[in-house]
Amino acid sequence: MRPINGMIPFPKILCLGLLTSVGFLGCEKAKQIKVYTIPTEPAPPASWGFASPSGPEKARFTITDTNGTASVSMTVLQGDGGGLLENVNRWRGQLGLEKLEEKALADVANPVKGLSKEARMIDITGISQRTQIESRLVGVIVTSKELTWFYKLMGSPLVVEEAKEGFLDYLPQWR
Amino acid sequence: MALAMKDNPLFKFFSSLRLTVVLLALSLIIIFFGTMAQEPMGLNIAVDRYFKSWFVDQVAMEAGVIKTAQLFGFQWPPVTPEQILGDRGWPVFPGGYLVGTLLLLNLLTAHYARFELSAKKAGIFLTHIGIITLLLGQLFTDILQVESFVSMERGDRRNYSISFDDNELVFMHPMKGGSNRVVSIPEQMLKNKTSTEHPELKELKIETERYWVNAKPMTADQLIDLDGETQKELRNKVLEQVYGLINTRITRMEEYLRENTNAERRTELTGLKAIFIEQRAKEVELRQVADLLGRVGEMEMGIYGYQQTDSKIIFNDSGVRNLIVKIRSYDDQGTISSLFKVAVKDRFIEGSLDEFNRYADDFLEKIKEYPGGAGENMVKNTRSLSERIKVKAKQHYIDSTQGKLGNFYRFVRPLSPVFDQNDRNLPAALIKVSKGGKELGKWLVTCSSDFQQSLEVDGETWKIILRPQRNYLDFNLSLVDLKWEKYQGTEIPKNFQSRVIVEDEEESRTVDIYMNNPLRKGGQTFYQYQMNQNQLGATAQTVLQVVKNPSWLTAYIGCLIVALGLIYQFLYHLVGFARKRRKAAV
Repeated sequence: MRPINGMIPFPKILCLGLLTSVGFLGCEKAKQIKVYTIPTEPAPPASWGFASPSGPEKARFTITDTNGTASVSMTVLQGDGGGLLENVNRWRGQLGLEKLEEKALADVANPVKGLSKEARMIDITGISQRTQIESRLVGVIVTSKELTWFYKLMGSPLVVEEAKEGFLDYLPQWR
Repeated sequence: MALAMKDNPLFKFFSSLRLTVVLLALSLIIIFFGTMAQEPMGLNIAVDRYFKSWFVDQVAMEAGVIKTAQLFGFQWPPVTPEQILGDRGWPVFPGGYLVGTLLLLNLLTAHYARFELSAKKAGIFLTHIGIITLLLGQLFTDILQVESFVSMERGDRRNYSISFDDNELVFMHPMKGGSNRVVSIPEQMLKNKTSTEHPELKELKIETERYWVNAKPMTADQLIDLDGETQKELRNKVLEQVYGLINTRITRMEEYLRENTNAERRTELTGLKAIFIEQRAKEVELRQVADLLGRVGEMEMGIYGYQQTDSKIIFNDSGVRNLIVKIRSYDDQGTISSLFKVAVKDRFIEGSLDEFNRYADDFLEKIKEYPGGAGENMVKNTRSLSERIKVKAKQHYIDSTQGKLGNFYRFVRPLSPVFDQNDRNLPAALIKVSKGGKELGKWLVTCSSDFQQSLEVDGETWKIILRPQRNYLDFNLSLVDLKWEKYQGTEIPKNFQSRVIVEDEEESRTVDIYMNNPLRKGGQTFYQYQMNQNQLGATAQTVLQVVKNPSWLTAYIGCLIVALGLIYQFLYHLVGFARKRRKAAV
């Protein structure tokens, strides 16, 4: 077979363009201010102060006012996390209350507006076994197919009363 | 025309084989020192300053050369973090981009000068085109690829990935229709103390008063802890001196027993030495040290026949006694420090430096009223502690006037920058915000907390946060489950696997991500990267590496062209060979 031609035309323009583009791209770009729009991100109520999560908790806040203090926490466990009855009784135990039977559960665990139909809330008051002072606990348990979320607002009854509405409003967005 | 160009000296230079050899040699040097520099500078900085630069700067080259020299036994001091992040100095060596570009030019000119396109060589030509495509593809990947990561625990949902290195100061305000407008200011602008104004910030002006590349915000009690750490280090140094003396005494007794054989004493001394070695390896209280000294003294009396009051016995040695007094003083200060911590804990929120100093002075007065009376030493130690704490407070105090973080953390401790790939610097800054010439306040912002602070101005609420830079996704990822399997009986990972739910307007599907099975969506690839354990040792967190590479196809195209070229070349020769054989047979 004969050669097609003796020489390939030198691709000057291609080569020049290539080198120029490499040069431009190689220069470090100064970082600029960026502006963009995102869907609203869930934010806790303004009165909640930050605190370090403890143990398996994923988030923790504190609420302090002239009536005392309360804490808000969120924990996620795999599966049913031990089940609704077990966890309700665990929380009742923290306030020194007696354990409930399965059949009594429906009377104290109520659905929560804005959450899935499986979500249940309890609102109990007793003596905190840790601090030995009167405390109120609003706890919400949300189960999905593979995970269970536990949200807990606990502390001075007056502070809990004040914070309860904001707590429940924040839950649907708090993951 | 073409021949005239080939005679051009510049063309000859660029197409010469000598240049190829020189450039390849330079590549080797860059790769070698660039690799060495990764230890002191960290992977990313070394890659940027050796390979993704036109020239290697003086500091980067020093880092590589010094590390190499250290490997050969030279005790040269390493390049400090401050040098690495400071002035880079002069360019001293060709960088990766320069050598790569020249190599490409060399390849193209050499091709033009020497290569003839014929059917016989078309396969080789095609193969070279494929290699050039691969080289360019790699270059464009280098320049255009963006890597980030998503870190999730079970139950987390994310619609963003975050940068491995970059941080952003975000000013965010709500808009109608349930969305937020985000103004992202690069950390670099805080670092350079650039005054920031932007139309989207609506006349807000942001200035950096102070900036720390890596820092830990502290409360008042953490500041006292910081002093405690220093005192503890000093205590341990004195303790080491005491141990050094004990060691000398034990060695001397061993030598004595070697010359004056006494099997019973030797067994006792061996037991004492074992106790000494064990004690030296762990943290001990003063009474345990005193107990050990007593045992050594008793052993000396037993072996040498010294008397109880003899100064030759270690616990009567005035040098040792002075050291013990020093340790007792450090321990007393530790106790006082704990009391001081309790005194200021949770009580020094929003406090000024003057108030803190008053706390320190008041504490000194209160110590004097200590139940049972404070001894002279206790008052002296408290005064010393109080003065030290005041110096530290002045050094680390930040005068933020707004925001919950600055109210809570009144002090900032600068930390050395980290360069390890698995570590991350947590920068902090004190920013001043003003509008229309009126100062609105100073906020402490820090990557150590994901708490969003508020700024209210003219009826509008802004959220402020310094955080790792986010790249928002067009979909949500939720982590359902993760697996960390190990080979039986070992700690060697066998399988990292994350089960995620991918949700957007069009679909909701469950995907398992594991090695060689990434998730590809929205022009991005999500690879299984790391698994992290919590404090209890349970697998708690997965990290997915997110790679966005617009030029990812070039690698496939390049390989295809190379394969076609090789196949063509092979078939061309095969056919020619077959023809020859057929002719020969005829």
